[in-house]
Amino acid sequence: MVDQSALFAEKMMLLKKEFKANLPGKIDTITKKWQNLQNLEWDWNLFEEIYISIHKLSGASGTYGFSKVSEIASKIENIMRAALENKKILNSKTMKQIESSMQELIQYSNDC
Amino acid sequence: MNNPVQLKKILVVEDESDIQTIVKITLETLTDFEIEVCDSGKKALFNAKTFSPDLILLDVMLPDMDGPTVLASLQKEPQTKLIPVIFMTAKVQPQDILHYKNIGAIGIIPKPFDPMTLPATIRNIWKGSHG
Repeated sequence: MVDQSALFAEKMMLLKKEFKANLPGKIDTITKKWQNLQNLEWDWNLFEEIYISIHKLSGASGTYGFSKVSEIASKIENIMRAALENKKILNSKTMKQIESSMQELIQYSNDC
Repeated sequence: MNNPVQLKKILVVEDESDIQTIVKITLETLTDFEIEVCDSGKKALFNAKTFSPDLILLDVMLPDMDGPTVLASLQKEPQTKLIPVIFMTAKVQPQDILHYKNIGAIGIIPKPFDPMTLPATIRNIWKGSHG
């Protein structure tokens, strides 16, 4: 008889491994879009696209057990949500905060 | 009020593929539920009719329409209006929980969640709603 808990643990281990392998690529896509946003004229559509990606990253990474990545993504998400709700373009200080959190994301995704 | 409906079939509506995968594998491995997944509000409305689920796990942020809009559309259709819905969402605040319950959701599963406890969470919400 198959032990479902053991089978589940095995499946989870493989899923986490795959998620971890794909994490740097996901973060790279987000940070490239963020760089584009900074280099081009302000684009709310691109901003919202990045927000949605960060939102998904926060939920998924936490569910897969990468809580630090989820925490950093959540921090960025909160700042971006407030800007979206108020349709207020971020000032340079807040942009730097996000930039710094993006760098943290890159670092954790490579180290975890 | 007791309801004789047994929880057997669940429709999972989630566009984030990693979450979709983990929910499907968790429920298929740890429960006997029959699971169907889709990734948009439009597909959810279609599959709710063709799959006839006992319960829908519905992501709040979908690409084509949001979860509350999907729920409102389900409630307008005689064939789907009685299907219970649990929202899955990140960043849920107490006022959001109240709002989602007021519009007809039977419960909310916050993201991130622990996959190991997901079946029990779903069963508890179901029991709370169905006696």
